[in-house]
Amino acid sequence: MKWYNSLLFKFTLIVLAAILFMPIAIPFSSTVIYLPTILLKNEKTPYKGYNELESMWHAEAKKLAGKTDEEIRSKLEELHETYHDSQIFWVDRTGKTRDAFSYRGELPAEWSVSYTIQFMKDSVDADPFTVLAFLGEDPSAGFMVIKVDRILLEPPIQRLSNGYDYLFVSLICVIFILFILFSSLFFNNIRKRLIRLQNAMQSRHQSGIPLPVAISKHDEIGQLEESFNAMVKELGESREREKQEEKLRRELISNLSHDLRTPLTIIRGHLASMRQEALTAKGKEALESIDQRIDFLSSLIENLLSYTLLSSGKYPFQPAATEINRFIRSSIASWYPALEQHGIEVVADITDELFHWSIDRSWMERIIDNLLQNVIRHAGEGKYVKIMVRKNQITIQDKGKGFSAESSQKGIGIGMVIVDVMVREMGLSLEVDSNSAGTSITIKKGG
Amino acid sequence: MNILYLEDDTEIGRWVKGDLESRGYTVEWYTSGLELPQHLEQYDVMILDIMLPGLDGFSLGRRLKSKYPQVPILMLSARGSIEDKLEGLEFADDYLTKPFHPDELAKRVEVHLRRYDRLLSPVLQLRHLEIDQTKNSIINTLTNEEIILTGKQFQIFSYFLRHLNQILTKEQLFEGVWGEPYIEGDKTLMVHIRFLREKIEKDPSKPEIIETIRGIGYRVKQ
Repeated sequence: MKWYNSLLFKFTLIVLAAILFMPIAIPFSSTVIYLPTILLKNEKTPYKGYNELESMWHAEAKKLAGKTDEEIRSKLEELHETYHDSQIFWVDRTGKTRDAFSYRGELPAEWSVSYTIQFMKDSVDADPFTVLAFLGEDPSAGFMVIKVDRILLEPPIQRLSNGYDYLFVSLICVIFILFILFSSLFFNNIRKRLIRLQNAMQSRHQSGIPLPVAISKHDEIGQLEESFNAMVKELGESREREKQEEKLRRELISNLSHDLRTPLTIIRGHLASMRQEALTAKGKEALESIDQRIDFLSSLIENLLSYTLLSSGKYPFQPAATEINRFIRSSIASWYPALEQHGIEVVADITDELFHWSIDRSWMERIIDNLLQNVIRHAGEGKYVKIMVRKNQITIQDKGKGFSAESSQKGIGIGMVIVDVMVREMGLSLEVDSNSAGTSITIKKGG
Repeated sequence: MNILYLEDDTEIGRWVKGDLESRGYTVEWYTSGLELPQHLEQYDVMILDIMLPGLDGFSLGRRLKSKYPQVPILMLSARGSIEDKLEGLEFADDYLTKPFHPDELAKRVEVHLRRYDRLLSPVLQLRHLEIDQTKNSIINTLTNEEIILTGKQFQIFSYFLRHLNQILTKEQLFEGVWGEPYIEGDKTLMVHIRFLREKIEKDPSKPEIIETIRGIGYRVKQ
C-alpha cells in the first residue's frame, strides 16, 4: 500500500483542509467579492469626497464675487447638472431665498437670524452633507448651499457593502456545505465498504464458510479485505483437514470395533461347537455363562465406541419431530422377544394421545436399548418391566434390586453414562429413582 | 433353501456355514466377492460381511440388490457404528452385528424368507389351523372345515404370516395392510382383528393365534 493511498492520509487531508479553511477561505471569499468593487473605484463620478466637495464649493463661490443674479443662477444650474443628485440653493445679500435646484425641504422666503442659526445647527454632521459658502468670500454678499447625500461621498466600496455582505456570507456557507459534503462522501464511502465486508462475513456459503470478497482499493480496508480472504481460505483448509481427521477417526473406530468383535464371534463359534459335545451340567452352565459374557463384552465395546464418538462430538445430533408413542412401541416390539426369553413381564402403558418430540431417533434408540439392556442384565430378578409414555415423559420401571444392590454383573457405568449424555444433549432430563424394590428411570421433556 | 454367504474369516465362515446347514439350509460360502459366479438367481437369501478383500460388502450388496431385488440381503458385520448400520440398511433388509447368536441369525433368515414369500414349506401348521399358502386356504383341523375370510381379514392374516413370530405394532399393521398412515386412536384395526379372531380362534375371548401384546401390538407365533 502506498502512503498516499491510505485512509489516514486522506482523512488527514480533510482535517487539514478544515483547519486551514478559516484563514484561507475568508480572505479568499473577500477577495472574490471585493475585487470587482475595488476595480470600480475609477467609475465616473463627480464626487471625490467630503474635502474635495467642500473646496470645490468654496472655489466656485469665490469665483462668483460681484456677479449678477443671472450669472449666479446659470452657474449654479450648471453645477447642479454636474453634481446630479445634489440639492442647491442660494440666498442674496438681503436674506431672500433665490433659486433652488431640486431642494427637498421647505425654505423660507426671507432668512431671519434665528432661522439661519437653526439651519446651521441642523446641518452640522447631518445627512445629507451640507456645504455653505459666501459668495466671493464676503459674508454680506449672500451665500450658496449644496447638500449631498453622504453615501455619494463615501468611497465606492462603502456604497456597495450592504449588498455584498450577503454575498460574502453565502459564499462562506457554500464553502462550509462543500466541506461537509466532501467529508460525508468520504465517510459514506468507507461505511459502504465496511458494510459490504460485514455482509460478506455474515453470508454463508453451502460449506458454512463465507466466500472471499473482491479487493476494492489498496488502502486499510483493502488490507482488511485481504486478511479476510486469507482467513476464509485458512478456514476452508482447516475445515477440510477436520473432515479428513474425522473420517480417519471414524475409520479407526470402525476398524477397532471390527477387530474386537471378530474374535468374539469366533469364540462364540467355538462355543457353539462345544455345545454339541457331551457336557456335564456344570460344563453347560459354564458355556452359558461364557455366552452371556460375550454379549456383555460386545455391548460394552459398542457403548465404549459410542461414548468415544459422542464425547468427541463425532456422533452428530440430528433432531427430527417424532411421534413418541409410535417410536416407543416399535422399540419395545423389537426388545419384546429378548425380554420374553428372560421371562420378564412387559407392561406397556402408552396412551392413545399423540405426542411429538424433537429427538434424534438413533440416539433415542440407543437410550432405550441401553435402558432395556440394563433391565435384562441387572433387574432380571424382578421379572418385570413397565414402560410408560405420557405427554412429557417416558418412564421405564423394573422390580430389580436397584443400582445400589450388588448385581450379578457390574458395569452399569458406561451404558448409563451414554444415556445421561444423550438425554442432556437432546435437551431432555433424566430422573433415576433406585431402591431395593426396583428402579424407575424417567426421561422428561421440557422444564 | 439356498443361502449365499460371504465371509473372509475362515473360522467364522466354517462355523456359520455348519450351523446354517445343520438347520436344513444349503449354504455356499465364498471368501471374497471376486470369486462369485456370474449368475446368482438360485439363491434365496444372501448374507454378506462388510470387510471383504477386494470389493467391500456395501458396494457388493448394492450391486446384488439392484440385480436381484427379490432376494433378501442380510449384512453380518463386526462394524457396529450407526453410520455403518444406516449405510447398510439403505439397501439391505437386515443388519446384524457380530458377535451374533446363531439362533438369532437363523430366525432372521427365516423372517426374510417369509417376507419375500420364499417359504420353507407351503403348508403351515398353526395350532388348530392348517394354512396352505399356495392355495390360500385355511383349514380348521378340529372340524376339518375351511375358514373363509373377507378380503381385509385375509390381508391382515397373511401380513401376520409374512411376519411370523414378530411383534407388529398397530401402526405397522395398519400401514402394511391399508397402505395409509395410521392415525392414533383409530379403532378400525381393532374391529377387524376382533372379527378375524371370531373366525379363526377356538375361543375368541382367549385368543391363541393372534396374541395381543398390550400397549404395543399383536403377534402370531408359530
